[in-house]
Amino acid sequence: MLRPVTDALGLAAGAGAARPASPAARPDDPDADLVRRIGKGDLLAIRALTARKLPRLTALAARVLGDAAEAEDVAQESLIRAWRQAPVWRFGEARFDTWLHRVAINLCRDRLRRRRPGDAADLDALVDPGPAPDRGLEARDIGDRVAVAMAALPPRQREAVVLCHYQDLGNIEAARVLGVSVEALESLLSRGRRALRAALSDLVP
Amino acid sequence: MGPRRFRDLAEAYGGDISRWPEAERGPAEAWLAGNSREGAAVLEAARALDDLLGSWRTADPVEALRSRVLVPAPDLVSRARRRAFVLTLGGGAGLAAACLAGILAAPFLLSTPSFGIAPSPSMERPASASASPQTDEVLAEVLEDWEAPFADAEADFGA
Repeated sequence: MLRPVTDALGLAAGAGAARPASPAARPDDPDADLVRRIGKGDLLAIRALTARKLPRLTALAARVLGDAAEAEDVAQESLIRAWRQAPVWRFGEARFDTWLHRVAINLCRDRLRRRRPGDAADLDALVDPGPAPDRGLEARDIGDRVAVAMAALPPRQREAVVLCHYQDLGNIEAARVLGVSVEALESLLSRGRRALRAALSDLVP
Repeated sequence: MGPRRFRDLAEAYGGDISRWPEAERGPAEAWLAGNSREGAAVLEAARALDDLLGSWRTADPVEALRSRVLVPAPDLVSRARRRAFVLTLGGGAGLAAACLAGILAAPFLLSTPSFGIAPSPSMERPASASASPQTDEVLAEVLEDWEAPFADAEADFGA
């Protein structure tokens, strides 16, 4: 049973409630300066945050949803919410990136709930069509296998693996995004990785 | 830290100790130093799965998506700023109303025995932080937005 983590961190789903912004930024929030500038209408900051977050959000949603087109919609909607949130962002309570991930994950969950049983993800569209100079055809095949194995994971396990492995979030931030305790996150990760290892056993030494 | 915890961490977070929970990295490194053969085998097995997962790369966002995100941004930010400002005004109005009510009620309260009734916590509320000297600055910015709400934004982002 997953224990919900206290959500006094401004991470409520959607988190659309207007809150006055404090001038004091959380020192370890790397997005604080951009968010403050966006809150004042700085177009360059809007462009910079888009460059920083759009690939990240698109990749997150693609891996959670298993659908490239839906992932683009989720990334777009997440950043639209970011534009609305920046002028009223309360610094010091949570990292902006954590909040943004939470928004994107909730949007993904909404879409997964709406899916009908027959809806199949277009996994082929998710894999980078490459090959890049250092990657051959074999790498793409392996990527396809991993995509299929990830799609077969229970949703919460998939989310945990995506956040920690692919999005590179720390355990505390990932637990906040998922709304679970750190212990529960670790359990999700362990079970997810065990299932992946089993599904890819012919490829893992 | 013992071997079991070391294995649990590798199983959950992978074969790179720098990605493990911050508080456990030091103890893990210490355990690894004293158990290098066993520890290395655990990490190697976890790294093999890490490498496999890393082979799934997603395509970068296309330019059209970037435009869909950027074009409405200035207007959305501007609207959110106006909304925040109105809420600030609302808070100020509420504070003013509370002060007015206090002024009107003061003669009555002063001339009436209190019978030991403690003051309501709401009467002890300090002045709202929203009524700050920055209000004029925000007002100036919002008025500026209303006059010129990012007229050239679409052209800028379309570039």
